[in-house]
Amino acid sequence: MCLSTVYKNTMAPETVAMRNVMSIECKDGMVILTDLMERTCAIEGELVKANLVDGYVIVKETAC
Amino acid sequence: MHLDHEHTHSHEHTHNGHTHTHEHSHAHAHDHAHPHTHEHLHDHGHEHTHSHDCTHDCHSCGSTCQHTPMEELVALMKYMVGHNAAHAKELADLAMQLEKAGSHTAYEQVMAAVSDFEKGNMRLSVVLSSLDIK
Repeated sequence: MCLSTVYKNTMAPETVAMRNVMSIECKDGMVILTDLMERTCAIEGELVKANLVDGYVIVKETAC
Repeated sequence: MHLDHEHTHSHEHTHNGHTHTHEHSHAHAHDHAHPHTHEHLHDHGHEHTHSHDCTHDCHSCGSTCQHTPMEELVALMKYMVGHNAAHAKELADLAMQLEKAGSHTAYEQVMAAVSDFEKGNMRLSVVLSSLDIK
């Protein structure tokens, strides 16, 4: 029930994809993030890890 | 250094068997660029891909960039107040389980903590109300 920060590939300040993420949907090879303001962000890749205690998620981007 | 600016671009996409082009603008908060491509879901209900020559992450380029920083802070405060209330209830439920398990002292202590927690959350609610009024 906590909001999470989603990172791309590695967990570092410069890899933050979205903060205050309230929902994550994986669909057709995309990871679709929605934040508290209901903005969406779609990342082509897969969900690697979700730590719901510390509130972070790592998404591995599909290599171009 | 970050600079706020807005740019408008158009792009073509196809859905439901027809292709059209439309324009939209994004406000950006940065001052230099490098190209990358990513996909967005836009609030007109369908998905398409376009490119930005910018450095921001997706968060700063959501499809609805019209929220002010204060609106975002108020939204976050509202979320936190509701979130804290939910946690207070969870703690009260936990206290009840301690009571049922025969630990009355722990029950009382946790309920005292819940009371303190709720007082703190009440203070946050007051702040939130003052922010909502402005």
